[in-house]
Order: sequence, then C-alpha cells, then structure tokens
Amino acid sequence: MSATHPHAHDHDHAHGEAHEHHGPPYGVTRWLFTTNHKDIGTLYLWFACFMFFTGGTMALMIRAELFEPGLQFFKNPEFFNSLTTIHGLVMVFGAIMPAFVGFANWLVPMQIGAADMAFPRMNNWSFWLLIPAATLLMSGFFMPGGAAGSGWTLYPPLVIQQGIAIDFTILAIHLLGASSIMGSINIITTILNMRAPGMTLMRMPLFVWTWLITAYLLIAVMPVLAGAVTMLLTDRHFGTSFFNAAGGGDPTMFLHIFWFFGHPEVYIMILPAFGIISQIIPAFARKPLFGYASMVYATASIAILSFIVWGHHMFTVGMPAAGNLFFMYATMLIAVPTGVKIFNWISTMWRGEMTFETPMLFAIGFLCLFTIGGFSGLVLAIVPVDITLHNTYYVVAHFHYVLVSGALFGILGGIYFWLPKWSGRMYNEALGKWHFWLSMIGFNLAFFPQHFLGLAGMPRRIPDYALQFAEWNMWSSIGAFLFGFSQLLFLYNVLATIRGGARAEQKQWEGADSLEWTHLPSPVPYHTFEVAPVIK
Amino acid sequence: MAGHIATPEQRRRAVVTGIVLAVLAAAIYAVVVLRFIANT
Repeated sequence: MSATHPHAHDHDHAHGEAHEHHGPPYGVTRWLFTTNHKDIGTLYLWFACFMFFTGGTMALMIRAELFEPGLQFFKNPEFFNSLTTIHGLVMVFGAIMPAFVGFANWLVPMQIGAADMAFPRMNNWSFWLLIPAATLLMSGFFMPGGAAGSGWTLYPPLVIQQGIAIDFTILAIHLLGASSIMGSINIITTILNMRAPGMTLMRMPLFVWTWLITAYLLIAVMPVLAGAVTMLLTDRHFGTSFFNAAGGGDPTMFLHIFWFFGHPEVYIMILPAFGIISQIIPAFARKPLFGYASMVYATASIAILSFIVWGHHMFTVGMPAAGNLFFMYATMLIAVPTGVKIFNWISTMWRGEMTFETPMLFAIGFLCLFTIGGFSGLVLAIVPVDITLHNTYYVVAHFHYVLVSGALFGILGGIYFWLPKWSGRMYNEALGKWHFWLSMIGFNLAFFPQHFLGLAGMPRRIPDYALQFAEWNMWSSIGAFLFGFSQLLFLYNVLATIRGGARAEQKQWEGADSLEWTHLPSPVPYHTFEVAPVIK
Repeated sequence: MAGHIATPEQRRRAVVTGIVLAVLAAAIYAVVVLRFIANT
C-alpha cells in the first residue's frame, strides 16, 4: 500500500497558512470547547495518566498493607475493601479504557486519511463526561460508610446493603457507559464513512481494525452493564427485588448479567493493545505484518467468542454440569484465534532486521507476559481447577498479567512509538529502556508470586492473612513498589520530551508505513490533512 | 485553508450510521431492563 498526496509540493506552504490562520486557540477554552480529534486524544491520554497514578497509589496502599500479616495501616478493614474496589474501577474505566480512546482519537483519523472524527462535538462531550464520573467515583471516600467496597464487580447482596457511595458509583458507571457508547459510535461511524479514497477496509492498519471491533463490542455490552446497575439502583431505593434475595430476587442473575458485560469488557481492554502491538512489531522488524487478513479474522473471532464465555467467571455458583462444560470448552476455544495472533507476531519478527528501541521492548514484553496471562486463563477455564482456585490470588495474578503486562504494556509501548509523531520530539531512549526493564522486573516480582499464593489458597480481597503467605506477599509488595515508582521515570520522560526533546523526523521509525508516518510531518499540524490523501 | 472536510454524502451516511448505532445501544439497554421488569 502506498499513499500519494495530490498537492505534495504545496504541503509546507499550506501548513504554514494553516498554522497562521487556523492554529489552535489559546488558553482553557481551547481544551474545554475543542472539537479537534488530536486535542481530545491528548485530553483522554492525560486523564488516563492521572487516573493511572491515582489507581496506582491505591494499589501501593493495598500492597503496603499486605507487606506483612496483621493490620498495619488500615484499622478499619472496610477501607481496604474500598481501596480494592475503587482501584479496580479506576484502572478499568478511568485509566485503560480512556487511554485506548485517546489513542483512537489521535490515530484513527490519521490512519484512514480522515480530516477529523465524524461527530467532533459529541467527541468533546464524550471526554468531558469523564470528569464528573471520576469525581463521583472518588467522592465516596469522603462519605459516611466510605467508598464502594463490594469489589469492582458490584455483587449483590453486599452492594444493596452498603452506604450512599454505591449510588454515586452507580451514577458514575452510567456516565462512563454513556461516554464509552458515544465514543464508540463516533469511532465506528468515522471508520465506516470517513476513509480516504482507496482506503478499503482490508487496507486499514490493524490498529483501526481492532478499534472497529472493540467499538462494536462496547456498543453491545455497555448498555447491558447500564441495565444491571440501573436495576441495582431500583433495588436499593425503589422497592424492587431484581437481585435482592430478601424480596425474592436472584443475586446470581446479577452475576450472569454482569459477566455478559464483563467478559467482552476484558477484550475491550486488550484488543486495542493487539492493534498497537501489530503496528509496533512490523515497524521494528522492518517487515510487513505476517498474516494481515488472518489477524483481522482472529480479532473478530475473539470478539464473537467473548459473548459466550461469561459463565467461566461463575463456575462456583452451582450451574448445571452441562453449563459448566459448555463455558469451559468455549473459553478454551478462544486460545485458537489468540494463538493465531501470537504466532503471526512471532512470524513477523522471524528473520526481520530487528532493532530493540523502547516501543519494541514493550511489544516483546507484552508478547511474553500476555502469553503467560493467557495460559493461566486456560488453567482457570478448567472447571475442577477453577473451583479450587476461585477467589484466590491465582485469579489476581492471572488478570494482572492480562491487563498490566497486556493492556498497559501495549499503552506504554504505543506512547513511546507515537510520542515523536504527536509531540514532534524524540524521547530519551536510555530512560525509556530503564523504564521498560524496571517495569519488567517490578511487574514480575509483584505478580508472579501471586500464582504461588493462590495455589497455596490465599483468598483475594483480604487485608490480613495467615503466616504461611508472608514471604511471597513481602516479595510481591517489593515488586509492586518497584513497578509503581518506575512509572515516575515514564512520566518524567514524557514531560521532558514535550518540553525539550530532540526534534523528531516525519518518519521517525524506519519500518513504520501507516499514513501518519508516510504522509504527515512531526508534529502533526492542527488540521490533519489539508487535502484528502489518495491511497493507491 | 482549514483542512479538508467531509463531503455532504459522507456527512449524511455518518448521521445515518450514528443514529442506527445509538438506537441499537438504547434497544439493548431497554431489552435488559424490560425483560427483568416483565419477569418480576
């Protein structure tokens, strides 16, 4: 695929004019009222960064408490429950998802040759809904009874019995859901309708494909979550008994509805990372992505299968054996398209002229560690094993391997990859490599021992534990602090880059071939394409 | 020069797509809630 620009000779002149007459407005109003996809992408990314450090601080408080047996810091164990709950909600809805929407805002229009998103004003609204939502979510810490402490899954009956913070959490989830649905509508509409001439669906970069499929997933499942939490709200305040056993309701039904949302949600958080990795690996292997079409079909297969595996989160609730078996086999089936992707990435690297800059390091780290998370998922898919490991630290280890070394490593690799394009400046490579290796060591030290803790029977969501779990918990806490503080290196590197990094080239990475590298200068001008590119 | 903008045809198709997707989302929400209200 190659792209040509009809007025390539006029390019610099045209940009000069654009900056002079149509550059970004100044001050707060630029960010409050912006409809520019790059500005909104930047807002999403900084919001996600703030929430990542907020949720990360909670994680470190949790790990500080678990450093040794006994209650060290939190004499009220309910506060510990609130920390695990809000940590989960903040990381899922405040950090990972907004970060990927930030990537989508920045990259989707540039990679398909569109001027902007299809609905720029709705794009602005999607972002600014996040601020009241995050405020509502966090405000529970200052309310009687403390913040929501039911776990991020909000299981009844606990969630029906807790204080007013649950209502604020439910409202926050409604707002976050509305924001996600509007963002998804925007992304799907942009991809389906705003592509440049010649940019057929099967020519789109993999990142755009993964986001197209993710956006469909979001539209399908966010209303399901919204329906579930609406019913929780009416159970709490309007006399209904959907999930309240005291009134004849069925708490297990909430689990079914929640996980019908919750499992696709896992893929919502990982598919865009697959897209990012699919951009990074070919760029640094200097080879086209191996098996492009099979990557697209594998992504779609994973998304479809994600709708029929929710029961593996609830093997212990007493489903019929046939139900358990169905969910077990359906879950194992997901390993097939996921394996296709893993082998395609490896095949892309095979005999490539590889170099190992920071984005590539994070991509390879992703590949190794996400595979470990995938394998522990297969272990948990086995019904009799899961009945033993359910609610233990093995589960905590598994989903952190998927969501931290999967989703987060994808995000970090993506930021290093596109930061030169976004800011026009090159980050400090040495600092980036330090960040990667400290993250790698810290992450594995924090979460690999949690497999052992889970296998030994340590339950999750407890502030105190039996003495036999002490040693691995100590190592896990040390690893968590190493991982947490190494993220400050990342923050410093990004800020230093924006403030005064060396000038980046238009095509900073030799092997990168999507439109933003081949066709747009670094930094990208405020108006992305002066003339629609023609893809040949 | 303010960058190329969407053609009227692109805008029309975008609005149609957006409305279809919004209706789909609203319908899923309604089905989840109404199904359980009907069974309660």
